[in-house]
Amino acid sequence: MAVSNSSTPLLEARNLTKLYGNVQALDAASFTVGPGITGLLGPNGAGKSTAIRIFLGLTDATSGSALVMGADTRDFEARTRLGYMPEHDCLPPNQSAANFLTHMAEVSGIPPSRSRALAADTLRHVGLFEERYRPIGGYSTGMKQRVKLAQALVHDPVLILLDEPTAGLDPTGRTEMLNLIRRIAREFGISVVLSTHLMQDVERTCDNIVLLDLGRVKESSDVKSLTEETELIYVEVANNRDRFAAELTDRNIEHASEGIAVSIPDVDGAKYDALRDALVASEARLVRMGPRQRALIDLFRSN
Amino acid sequence: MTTDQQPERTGTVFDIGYQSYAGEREGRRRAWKTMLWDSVKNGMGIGRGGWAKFLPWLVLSPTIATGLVFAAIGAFFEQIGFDVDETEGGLPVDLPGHLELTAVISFMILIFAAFVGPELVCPDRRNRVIHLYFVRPITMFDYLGARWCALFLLLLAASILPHITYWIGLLFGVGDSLGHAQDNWLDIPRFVGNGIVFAVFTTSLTIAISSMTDRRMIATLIVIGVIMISTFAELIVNLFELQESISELIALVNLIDINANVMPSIFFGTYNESNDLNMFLPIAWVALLTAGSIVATWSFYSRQR
Repeated sequence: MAVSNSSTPLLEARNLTKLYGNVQALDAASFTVGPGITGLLGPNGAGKSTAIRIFLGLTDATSGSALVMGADTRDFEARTRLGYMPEHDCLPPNQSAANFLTHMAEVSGIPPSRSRALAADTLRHVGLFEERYRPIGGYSTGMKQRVKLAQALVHDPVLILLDEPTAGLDPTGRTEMLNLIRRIAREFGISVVLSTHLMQDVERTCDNIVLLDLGRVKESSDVKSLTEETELIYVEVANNRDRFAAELTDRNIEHASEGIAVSIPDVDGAKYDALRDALVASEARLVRMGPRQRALIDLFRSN
Repeated sequence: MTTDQQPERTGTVFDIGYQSYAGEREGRRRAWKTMLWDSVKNGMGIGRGGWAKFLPWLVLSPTIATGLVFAAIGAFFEQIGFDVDETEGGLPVDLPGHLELTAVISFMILIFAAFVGPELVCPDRRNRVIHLYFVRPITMFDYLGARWCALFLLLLAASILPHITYWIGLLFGVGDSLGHAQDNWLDIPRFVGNGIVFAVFTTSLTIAISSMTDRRMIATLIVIGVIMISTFAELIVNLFELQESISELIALVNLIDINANVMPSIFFGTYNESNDLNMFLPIAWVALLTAGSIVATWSFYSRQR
């Protein structure tokens, strides 16, 4: 196995191409995943799951190469340091979470003398310590998601790949799961790849994103730079938006209407005065005014 | 002491937080051992509910009991003055031996395989746990190998335990234990060898059939169905009063007969006394069925992956 050091990407795709018959799931995709939380983002059919399956060694690429911590995806040592939480159900209903995690820790190469303690610790961290001896079949959806996450963590991996971890969760459960994912990266020091089509999840959680569309990498950057403030001023009003827009036109201020708001480019001191006057003249009630922050959804739109 | 006089609490609970694992990682070796031991435990219902234990033991207990009964019969005849050792002057009565014991227990072990085999491979696919195994340091070969070996060990134990019970039972039942052991030691490699062949064949067939469905009960019914159909097929063909050698050839489709009579008679050296066919034909047939089952299992799992 290649030695994983700070300069070795955790995951590296080089011209990764995957064909299923005539369907091209990945088209010469090249990207790297480093430490922290990386969102693998894209609409359905973008190639996210295929990329994950290749990195996990579950399927082979048609061409190109995939490296995990500098090693081949089938390298056993690399696989002892990798965790995977699938989107679909993957839990035995008749087993207790404690027994299931103990077994999974041992299958990951942890000696039996340590695996039970690791399983209990991991279940404590995901908030299932009290419930650990109950059969998994009796768990709620949220608890099952936590067990799925726990089995990915139980062998203390370097990197975990989470496939739609918030699927099927209510808003509270979703927030808790995202908080837990942040804790895993920040406190546990385990890097995370979060595959999702939910942009809000990525915005709330990830440090970096890799945006896939039709098997190609459309964007690969850190979330902060993609959602940085723009030169646009965003003015949201509660009423009289059209009158407000008309007043802006009368004052020769370039603008664009967006729902209940108006965005104005290149605002300087004089424009702010004119903007204030337009608001007063239109009798529109101001809700919010400030620099426009790009949202990741704009990336989808632009692509 | 009143509540006012209670000493001030000084204990503090510290959360030590997440602790990285710095211990040994045994990799693929540990994964394989775990899979094997877990399969053996699952097969026998160890660490599981009462019903999971009940079925395998319900089928397995009578096989061991049969060995005890055979030993008791031998010991009884010894006690009433008959010589049970063939080599010591011949038997006054035709007592059943290891060959007959194999014939009696074979069907029970096939039923045991029909219950235990699906238990080892079907739930993993039904619950989709199998995906979690293949992202860990094991290959499909390791996974199937561990499951196969577990069933093999259970079937081998089920095949030879009754024989061991019988052999040891007679050892204690007859007067001259040492003489009996010296005269009959050759039975041990015979029933062990036969048990190995039987376990290899039955394990491969059961795992192959169980690979076709993710429902345990359906797999069990298919295994039992295949055994029954093969038996009835032979019975029906025999109604046509065919030539002896052709009948023997057709008899090879009967899975019970292969396990209960054909292979044991080869191991115990009695095959040529009652058969026209060359004994290498049934051996090749069993080898072909075993290889075919293994190839079918592998190809099925390769497609699933």
